[in-house]
Amino acid sequence: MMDHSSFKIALIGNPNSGKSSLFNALTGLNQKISNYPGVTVDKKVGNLKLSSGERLTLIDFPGIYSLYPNSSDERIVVNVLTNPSDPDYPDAILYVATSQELEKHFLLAGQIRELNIPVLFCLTMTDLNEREGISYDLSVLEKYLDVPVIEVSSLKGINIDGLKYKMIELIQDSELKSFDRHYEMSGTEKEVAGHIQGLSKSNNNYQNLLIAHHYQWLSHLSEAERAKIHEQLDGHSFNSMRSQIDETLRRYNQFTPVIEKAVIRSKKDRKSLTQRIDNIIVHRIFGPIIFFAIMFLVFQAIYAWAEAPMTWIEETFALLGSWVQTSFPSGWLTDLLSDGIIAGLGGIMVFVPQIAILFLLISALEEMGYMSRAVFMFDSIMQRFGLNGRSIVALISSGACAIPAIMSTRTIANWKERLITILVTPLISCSARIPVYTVLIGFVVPSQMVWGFLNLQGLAFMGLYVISIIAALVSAWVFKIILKSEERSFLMIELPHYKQPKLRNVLLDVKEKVGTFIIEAGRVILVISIILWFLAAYGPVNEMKQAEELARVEARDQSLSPAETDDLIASAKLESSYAGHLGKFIEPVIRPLGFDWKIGIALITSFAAREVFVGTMATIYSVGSSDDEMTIREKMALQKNPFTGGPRYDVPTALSLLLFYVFAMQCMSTLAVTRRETKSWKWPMIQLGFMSVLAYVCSLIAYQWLV
Amino acid sequence: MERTVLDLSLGEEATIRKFKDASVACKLLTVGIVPDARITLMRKAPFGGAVCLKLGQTFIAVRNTEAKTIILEEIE
Repeated sequence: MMDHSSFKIALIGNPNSGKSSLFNALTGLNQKISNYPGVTVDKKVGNLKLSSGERLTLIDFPGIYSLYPNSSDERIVVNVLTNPSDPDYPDAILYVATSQELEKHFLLAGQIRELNIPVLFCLTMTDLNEREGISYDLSVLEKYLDVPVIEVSSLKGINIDGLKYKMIELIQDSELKSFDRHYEMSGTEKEVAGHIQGLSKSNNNYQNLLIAHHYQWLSHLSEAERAKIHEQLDGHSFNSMRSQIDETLRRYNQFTPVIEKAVIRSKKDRKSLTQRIDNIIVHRIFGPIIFFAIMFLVFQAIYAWAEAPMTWIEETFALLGSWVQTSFPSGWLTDLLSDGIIAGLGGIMVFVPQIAILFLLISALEEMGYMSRAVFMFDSIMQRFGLNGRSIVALISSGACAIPAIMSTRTIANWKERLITILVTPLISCSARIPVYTVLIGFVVPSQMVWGFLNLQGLAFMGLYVISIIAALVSAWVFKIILKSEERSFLMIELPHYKQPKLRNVLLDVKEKVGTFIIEAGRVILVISIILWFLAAYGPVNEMKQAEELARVEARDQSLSPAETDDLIASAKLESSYAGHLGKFIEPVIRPLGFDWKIGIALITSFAAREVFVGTMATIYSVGSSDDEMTIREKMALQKNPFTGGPRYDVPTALSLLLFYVFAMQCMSTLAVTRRETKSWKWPMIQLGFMSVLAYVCSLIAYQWLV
Repeated sequence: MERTVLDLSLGEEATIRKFKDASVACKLLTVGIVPDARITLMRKAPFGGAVCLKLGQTFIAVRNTEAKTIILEEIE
């Protein structure tokens, strides 16, 4: 038996062609996400074991309409397919098309078959043909395409085995037979491709023509190669856009009659279910109302369902930490393990339930076809703020976490719109801010009912979300004015036919998103947690000792219990630690906002993740042994302001602190992801800068006005 | 005055003749918005700015700025 695990099959097709469904049906859980080298587009790779015992690798590429792509995730396909030495360059292509809209798929299919890579043409969603009244003559299609054609339904699992069998044939007989080209290049195109051949790694004419079209952004070309190609093209009357249009039109002229001949539609022009649903879902008035109702339910579900698993995760990590403390010999290594690493890991994992639930719902909405309707509905409003309709997906996702939200902006073709979306996304209140809001809101708004049924604190909570959304939109608008771009903005999005979401697809998507969060945010949070642990656990040696002794004496004088003594010592040690020194160092800067050095420490530790605020407050106010938000709040309420004699957390201070947490960029992981997505340090620094200024100014105004 | 897709009334179908803008055409062509294709204006976005078009069995949303570059055949 031959080992073909190095045999790579690429899944290529239009967006909404059922490509990912088929990929999931073929590979199941045998898939993993990685990155294409040098670019930030996720690559889905799966392994497939065939009945013959052979194994092969499947790569799911982003959906595209043509080899003349628009957005950065579409470009990746062309990048790989024009570079035979790319590690992902496929040995064969599985071209995926829905059987209901064949005319939509033949443009790309025609381009693909000219790359000198064996193609297997797969018609999906055949289970819908009968209902839609569609039939076709396979032999006509097969004859025209001159490649094997197979019909499957990934939803019903029909003929997946037949597809696998065809794949075996493809592997065993992967030698390429010659075939008629559908597209005869023009004289100029031939000349240009011929010149490129000398410079590129490919000896396929069509690949070389594609390189001539796309050399400015193809990442496998070096700057020197780019310059050479530019030089070569200069001598020709090669107009890339003209040539693209001609090629596309000629292809349409060729395959349209073939499809007309092969496809029979028995039900003509009936009003489809999708149309009837859309009459309500994207209705002028009901559409937006339904959208906000759905979003309201989504966020309700997040809070209702996530609470129990979050408590469970918190408790597990707390138990694990104390188990390490008690069962290992005490020393810095044990402390690092329990207070640095385990606490840091807990800080990452605690967000998983909320993120998983949000993406479960968003992914289901996406699968059903709803999200593209939201894009369509809100595009014009988004545009006014310099964003794109597609930004709405990022803005909603950032209600859970800005990291996957920023990654979802890859579908936005216009760079300026994408950049603005990335920059303002972290302003939307994410799940890490919730614990902070929970602790602080009680100091600003009393727990009281208005009109008999509305909880005032609940309203204030919602108000913070509204403020964050307004801040995001206003900042976007400012960036729209500041940033200059020559690139034309456009929107072209398919509104797919509604379909029932398939649980497997949704779950795999959630797994992918959560995995990305754990890996991307996780490593940053972990490293920062360790650094912060060090800063909070260590300080100038003598000072730390002295503080501990003083605290011990004080505890004895007040005859505190052993637990209370430990809390007091922890608090005293934190004060004299490096973190305490840092807090005191920044105190002059934050005093105008009503903050003292203790809050300063919390601001610093919040850089790992905002919710660390709660834990830090607990340690500072000597209730380190308790993690309960209510206990911490009670303790905070007892604190006195040494200057005024009033409560430390009076309304001006608490409001100022709340606003600071709404606006400030206290998330290293987000900065790291912004850097990755924008490929420079410039944008994360601008993001950090404008959000810090916004937070500082708003807190300053709020405090100075109220005090 | 040439009639564009934006001039269609809701539910009206027409045949595409040509495009006003080559760079927009490049993109529209890839989804099947091509000369001689039959196109229907299905609906307008709730807050304006974009329209939903129907081509064969496919629904595609484009902005008004793009839609008005699609020129239609005159009605006989």
